[in-house]
Amino acid sequence: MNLLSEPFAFEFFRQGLIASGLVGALCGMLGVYIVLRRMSYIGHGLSHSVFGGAVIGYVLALNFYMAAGLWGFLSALAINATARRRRIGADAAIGIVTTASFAVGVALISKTRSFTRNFEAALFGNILGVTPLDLVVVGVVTFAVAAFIVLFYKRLLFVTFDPEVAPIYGVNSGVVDTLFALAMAATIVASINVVGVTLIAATLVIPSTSARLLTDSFGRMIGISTVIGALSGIVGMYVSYWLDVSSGATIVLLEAAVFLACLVITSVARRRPTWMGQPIPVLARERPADDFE
Amino acid sequence: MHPASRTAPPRLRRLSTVLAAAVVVALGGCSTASQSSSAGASGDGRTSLGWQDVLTGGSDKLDVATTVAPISSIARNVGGDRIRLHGIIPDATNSHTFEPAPSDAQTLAKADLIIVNGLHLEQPTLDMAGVSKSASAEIKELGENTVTERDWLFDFSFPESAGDPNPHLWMDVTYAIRYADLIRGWFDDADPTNRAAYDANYAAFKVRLDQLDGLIRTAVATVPERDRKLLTYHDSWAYWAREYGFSVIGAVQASDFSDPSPQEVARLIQQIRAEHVPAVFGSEVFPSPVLEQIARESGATFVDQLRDDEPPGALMSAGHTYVGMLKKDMQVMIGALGGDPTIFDALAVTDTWQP
Amino acid sequence: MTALATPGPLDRPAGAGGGDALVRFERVSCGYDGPPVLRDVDLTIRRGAFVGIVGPSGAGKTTLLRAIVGVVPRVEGRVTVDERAVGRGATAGVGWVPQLETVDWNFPATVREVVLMGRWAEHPWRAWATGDDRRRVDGLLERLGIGGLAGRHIRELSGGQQQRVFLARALIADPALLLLDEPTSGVDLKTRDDILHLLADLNGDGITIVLTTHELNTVAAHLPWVVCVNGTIVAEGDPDDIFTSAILGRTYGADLRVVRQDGLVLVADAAPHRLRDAMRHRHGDVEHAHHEHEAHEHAHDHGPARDASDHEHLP
Repeated sequence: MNLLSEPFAFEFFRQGLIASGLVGALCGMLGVYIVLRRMSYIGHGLSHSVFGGAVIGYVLALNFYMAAGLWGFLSALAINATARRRRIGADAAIGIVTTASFAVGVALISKTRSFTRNFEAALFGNILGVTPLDLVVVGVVTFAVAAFIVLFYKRLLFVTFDPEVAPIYGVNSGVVDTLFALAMAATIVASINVVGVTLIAATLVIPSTSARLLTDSFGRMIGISTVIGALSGIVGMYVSYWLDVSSGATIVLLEAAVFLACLVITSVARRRPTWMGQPIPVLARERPADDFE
Repeated sequence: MHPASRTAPPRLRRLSTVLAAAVVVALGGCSTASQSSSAGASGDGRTSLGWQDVLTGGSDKLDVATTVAPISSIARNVGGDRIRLHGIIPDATNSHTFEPAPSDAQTLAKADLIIVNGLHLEQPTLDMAGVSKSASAEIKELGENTVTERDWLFDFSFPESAGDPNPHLWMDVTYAIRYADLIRGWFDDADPTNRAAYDANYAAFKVRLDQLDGLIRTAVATVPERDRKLLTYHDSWAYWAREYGFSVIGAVQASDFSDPSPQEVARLIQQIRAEHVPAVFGSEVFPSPVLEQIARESGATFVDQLRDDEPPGALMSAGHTYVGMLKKDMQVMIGALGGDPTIFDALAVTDTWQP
Repeated sequence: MTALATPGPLDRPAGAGGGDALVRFERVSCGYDGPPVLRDVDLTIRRGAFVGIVGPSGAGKTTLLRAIVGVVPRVEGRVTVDERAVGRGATAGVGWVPQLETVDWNFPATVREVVLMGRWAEHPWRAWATGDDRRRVDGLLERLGIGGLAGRHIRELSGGQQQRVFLARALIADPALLLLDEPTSGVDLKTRDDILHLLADLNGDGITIVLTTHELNTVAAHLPWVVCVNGTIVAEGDPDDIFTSAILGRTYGADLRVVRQDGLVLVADAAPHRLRDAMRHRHGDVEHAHHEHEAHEHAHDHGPARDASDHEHLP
């Protein structure tokens, strides 16, 4: 058997490859909006919320996807609602809602003494144990989120760019935000089961930040981010086989390496100092003098 | 067009109500472990005394606190109704990480004897015991008194580099007999007036355990030699395998609870295929999609009914005992590997102590 | 400045609009959380008008504007645009140009992408820009004097260019009514001129324009119609008529003097002068003390010889 193609002989590897590619693309797509809305912490936070939801679901004997998804969705809505109030920023809103949800989970576990499941194991997901059902779920969610992004492209762009002005131009930001919360929850739940908590936070943020370095166009940013995410997932999975290292970690490391490369390239090529993807405005090309009256 | 991306308060209120309702339903819907005092007749075949007595600390009976269910069951069989017995760690809970609650501290404070497995099986509980116990109470460790370092087993889940040996001694019935003997000695010392009863209970229990041990050996012989291989999640079968002649070819959960690497998974799949291992064994406590995938891809059967710390049936039912747990495990395992599980059918699983 | 002194489009007597009512406020009180920001507003803006809204910060200028597009949460009374109550899809036909300060300049958007946002409702479910879209954008940018910048990132433009981009965004949907929030804040003289002339041209094409401004002398004084707002409508009319010390004083709660000279209207804030007087007065005390001391010295120098003790008293 050809050495390079050896891993492809295994079903777990093929399925893992598809899963990581899909999840990478999905998170790359959605991550653009999350980063631009300054909600980068949401991946980490919502996954903790989902934990609370999963526990509640277990106690009520509900299906994992349903319970975790519903709770994640409600959390995302609560975050949106809280963040809209000027006094509380999105970061604080995320912190409050998600840690409270997590605490609900912990409290429930400690109250039901006869907890027979090891929840940490369940929630860390495992890309090497992807079942065909998992693949279907991830596939469906990826398709649905992509459809959402395409159909609502103009509305999403406007609302993300300027949430105050978009309603004035007739965009129903309430509907858009609710659907976005649903998309976030679905993404997190579908991805967590496959690739785990830590990986979610990274794949939502890193590819889109890399893309931001490479382009100033919104449309291209989404495209580049999706491609970086998908490729990192696929290549990372493959490389992890040869390094014999955890696949999840390899994918994240690859994304981080891509980001570093983008950072170096753009800093050198454009001679424009950047920090975390944002050009430092003071050092940007000067506007012609603004005189005072 | 609706006014204001600044969400109107009514929406937030509705949302809070929904969230609050969900929380209330969840908290109300969950069941609290009931702390019923001992009830039901002894050894009449329908119920057992279990191990959920409320320890009073009184001098009328020996108050004993234990940890995991197998140990509790063994202790009950030696002590019978002469002791008040309370097992701290609920069935099938991960004893390595179980954090006892404040109410457990009270139980520990009332105990005359605290019996633990040791070998780092239940460290948080052991820590609490050290702090909570009364001055006259004693903590006894079974593991340290059963095997010396020479007999320690290190394996996939408990590698030598981490320092701690595999603590799951009780699955090997010969060790269980030793456990029972140790407990008998400690009961005798702590409660000499009932010495005769404890010794008699132990003798009866030993007969049952010897029977179980013999049946296991017979059953193992019916499994083709090449199929005497175990691949499990979280390795609790190391000592059992050594005693009864199986080999443990792998445990999917590595020592640090992290994911197995892709090559490890590939190797296991190839090994199972090459050696035609008929079944791989998971555990409901540690759901393992990876193990299921390995089974799917290698053609082995995936079995997740093995238990090392959860006796079958309801808490007070007659079959909820150490012997019951081993019997069920053996029937499942021997059957899955191509042996004859009916050998165990006649084995009685009820408690053997006499009032 | 001289260009504005000669009769031109801005000086049309029908500055309040010669047409029928486009925007109507009837006994409107509105606000956010807490007490209303605006009380008892009765206001009519006619079609074709060019109106400036002035007033101190927080007095409701922007709220008035926002009420026209229905984004103020608490409203009593009736606000209508084209006889249709606001809040039920009446924002079709209204263009909004926000203050430049509120824009996120680091957002990855090109000029074209921003301008096209204004046209999203044309093909709401289509993610891409059609050839028709591009032509309209290019044409509009050309008209506004920023042709050729379509592919640039919004951060790379000058203040005046940026203002025009957002103007283009508002115009691309062919609005009948254009609302601008502080369109000339933070730009230089020339840009301000250009923008005002641009708006005048648009007004000449028939677009009704309402803008807020805090610049009395350089903007408001040259508009055909001004509304003074301070929690309610203090006055409205031609600045020639309503820019008086009394009215502006009630609007701003400050001591404002109005000077008319050479056909110019100049509003001056008396407060800084009072401050200078106060400072001069205090300075005067110190100088007075200093003079006294020097005079004292002089006298001593030319007088009889002093003994040592006298020296010690000198500072």
